[in-house]
Amino acid sequence: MLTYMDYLQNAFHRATSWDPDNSYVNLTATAQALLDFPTPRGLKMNFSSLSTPKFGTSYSLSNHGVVDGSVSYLYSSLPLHNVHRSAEVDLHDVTTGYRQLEELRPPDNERFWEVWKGGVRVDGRNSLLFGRMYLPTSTLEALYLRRMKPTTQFRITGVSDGRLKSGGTIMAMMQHDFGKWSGEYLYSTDGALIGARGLYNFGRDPRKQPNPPPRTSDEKAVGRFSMGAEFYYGMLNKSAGMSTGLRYTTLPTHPNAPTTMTLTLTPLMGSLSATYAIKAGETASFCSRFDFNMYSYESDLSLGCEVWRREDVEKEDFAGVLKARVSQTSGIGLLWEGRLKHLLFSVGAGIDLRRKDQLVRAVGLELQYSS
Amino acid sequence: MAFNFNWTPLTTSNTSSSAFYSHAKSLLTAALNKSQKPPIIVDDIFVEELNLGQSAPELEILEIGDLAEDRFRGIFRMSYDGDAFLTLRTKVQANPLNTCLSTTPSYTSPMPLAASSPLTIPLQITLSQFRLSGFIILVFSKAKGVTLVFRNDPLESLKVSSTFDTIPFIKDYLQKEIERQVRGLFQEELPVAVHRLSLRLWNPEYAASLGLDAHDPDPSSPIERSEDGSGDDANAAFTNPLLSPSDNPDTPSIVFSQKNLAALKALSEAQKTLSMRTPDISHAVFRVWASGGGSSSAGWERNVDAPSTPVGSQAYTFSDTGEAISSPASISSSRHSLASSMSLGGGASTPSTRARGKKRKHRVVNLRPAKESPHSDPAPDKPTTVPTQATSSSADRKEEELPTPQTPTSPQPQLILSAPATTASPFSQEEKIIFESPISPTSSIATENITYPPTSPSENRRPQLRTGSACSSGILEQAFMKKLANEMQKRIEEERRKRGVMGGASGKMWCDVERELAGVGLGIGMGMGMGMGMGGVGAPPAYRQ
Repeated sequence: MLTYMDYLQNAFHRATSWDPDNSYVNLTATAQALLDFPTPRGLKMNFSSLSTPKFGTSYSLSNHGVVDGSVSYLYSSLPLHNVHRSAEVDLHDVTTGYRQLEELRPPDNERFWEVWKGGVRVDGRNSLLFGRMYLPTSTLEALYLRRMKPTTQFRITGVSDGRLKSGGTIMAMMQHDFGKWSGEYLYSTDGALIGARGLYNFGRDPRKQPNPPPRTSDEKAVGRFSMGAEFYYGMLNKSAGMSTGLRYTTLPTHPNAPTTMTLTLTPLMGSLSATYAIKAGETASFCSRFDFNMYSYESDLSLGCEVWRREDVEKEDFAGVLKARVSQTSGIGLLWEGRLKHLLFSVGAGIDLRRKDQLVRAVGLELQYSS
Repeated sequence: MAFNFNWTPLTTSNTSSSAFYSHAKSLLTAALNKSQKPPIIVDDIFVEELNLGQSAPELEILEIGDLAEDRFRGIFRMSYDGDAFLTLRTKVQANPLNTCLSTTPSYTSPMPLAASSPLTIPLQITLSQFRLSGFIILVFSKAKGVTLVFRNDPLESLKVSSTFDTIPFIKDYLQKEIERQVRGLFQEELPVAVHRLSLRLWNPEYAASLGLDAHDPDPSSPIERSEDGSGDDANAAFTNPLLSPSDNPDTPSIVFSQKNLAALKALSEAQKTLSMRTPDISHAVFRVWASGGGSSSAGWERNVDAPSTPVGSQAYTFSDTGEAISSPASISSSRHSLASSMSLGGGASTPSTRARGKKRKHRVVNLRPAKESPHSDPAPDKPTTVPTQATSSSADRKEEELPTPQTPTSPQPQLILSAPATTASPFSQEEKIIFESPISPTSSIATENITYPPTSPSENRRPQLRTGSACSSGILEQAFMKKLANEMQKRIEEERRKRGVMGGASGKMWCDVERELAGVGLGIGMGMGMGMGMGGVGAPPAYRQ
């Protein structure tokens, strides 16, 4: 389940019409949501509120052996009117699952962002500020997000922690999204890491053809083929890494069941990962992933699914979702996310069948209330 | 003087050695995995193979600065050129980006899609061809534990071979990195570990703070002995029975008699005030007297130290207090304290002498061979030298039990005997360490170089022996020593045989008997040797009765 602050950031993206899915990082978002979902540990409670459309707070308290918590504040220069309380939020917005990609949208015309008043341009750039303090470790996380242009977003994240090598790290990232392609350039102070990643979508260029062509025949599959790559180089520790990936996903106009296939390669390390996800109807999605390393011959097969439970068959109202995954290396994971009255809850467990003495590794319950 | 390690039990493939090796492996594995490993190592480190090789390290006493029931200070030279090897097995993370990002907090991580995918590679590292050579300064005090310092970098060379030998870059990197780690181990971590362990053994407060039994490790357990050879020769300190309190349960702790304390107090007050009267403390020798003859001691030093190897002269840059000695006078003072060391065996019959003489008496027994070491100069009569084997039965011989020498006139030849005897008694608890009496040519050279610097008040009583003039007497001494050593050996063998006949006789009794015997032999040797060497020359002040 997404934290309230992640939910607010997604709302900010929606409000500023930024598409996080059109990024190389989220190439395998569907498989990750279905196979790598985290299961809660211990008891965790979140109390959040958007006191004004621009300001949100969240307090969390968790207990897994030790009691700790965090206090978060978020400020958005753009009023977030698309945020709902926990009693009425759509569960799809606060959970991750099969990610149905939409048709590519052309970036906004920069002119539309201009606001003129009395011959003077008065529009500002929307930005988001976020800070979270963990107690009692006094770890501070901070985020500054600035929507600079319709195609550009600037993002700085920082962590201040006395236990870190130099007291903390900062990462700055410039993100571009032109629809047809997207790119991200980042610098992290941890090891002076520089990185670049990009995603290119084959097919129609939304800037030239803003509207998808009308479907002429049902035989022609409507999908999108994307390809991307990433490069990193740590200047201080002279470590480099790269990967490349492909994705094919069907679009909403596709007549058959929505399907996403990805293939990622890490040529230097010889690892290969192939995923296949299908959304079988409104209520169920299935995903499989095969990992293989051609140098060490290590392999892993993961299977996962999510099943939605309708509260009312007539209405499009869901009571909760059950997620399950099984993998050769990480065992079984179970997660039930739903709503109980005004509370969002998430119950999960991790089971490792290889260790008989400690079969159930992590059991947890997470509660969220927001107003 | 050198140690003769009995290495054969480790090399033979009997059950005890295999049990020892498996125990050592498990201990080493635990030690390697105890501390937090770098993120590049993704699995436990297993000790795949451990072999201490066929040859033992060489350990040589260069100098014993202080020796008492509760304290010890000495300088050793350790060298190892054997075929021990150690094979480690673990798994490493081959993706540098994964290693790099594993330490960064997830919030600021760039979250690569697949670039940080792990690739674990099994790694096997073999460390072999250890070449060690170093000077060990060992200071033990019952209150402060064992301080062990490597004066120099003991690691001369080391061969690292691994799974990645075909890749020169990784090979060089591993070689460099592991050499650095091993150097750090010898120079930093090992002294700390030894110190902590010794504190745990002898400092009940520290042990209590750890919640451990103060005397739990058995000093003669096989694993600790093994560490002598596996490169951790410094760990010999663990097995040193001198340092083990449990072996000498009846050893008195530091006891100052009220009389001595009063005398010392009077002395110290006399120097603080303008009192004209300095109390006379009998049977005491002061360093100030010794440092008077700077010229002669300088000459002595020229004669002896100049030809010695740079390595040897390095050993002389330390005083028994641990500070570097620069001036010849202070060297002579430490030389002179050689004289007081003679009271170890002989003068010990009057224990109060020592306590009264100085609050803390420094005894320096210099056993460092001169340049003509037996390796370079094969001694003509080497084969005839019978090693005086001080076995375990002659353990914890106490000075009080030694008979008084009849005429402790000269300390000179006594050095040969007293040195192994005094040092052997603590060390010989270790069954595997067998002490040999020093090869005669070297030792005689060393002893003949003893110079008592003349001091103004009693110059006529101070003998001065120069290297050149002492040659003839050296031969005499050698002959006497050989005879004496033979005699002692014979008697010990006799006793052994008797013990063998008796079979079930209690070991403790025989320990005592042998100790007694050795003490007798020592006393006789000392007395006679002194008589021969010094003739009618008066005894140094330390022996004034």
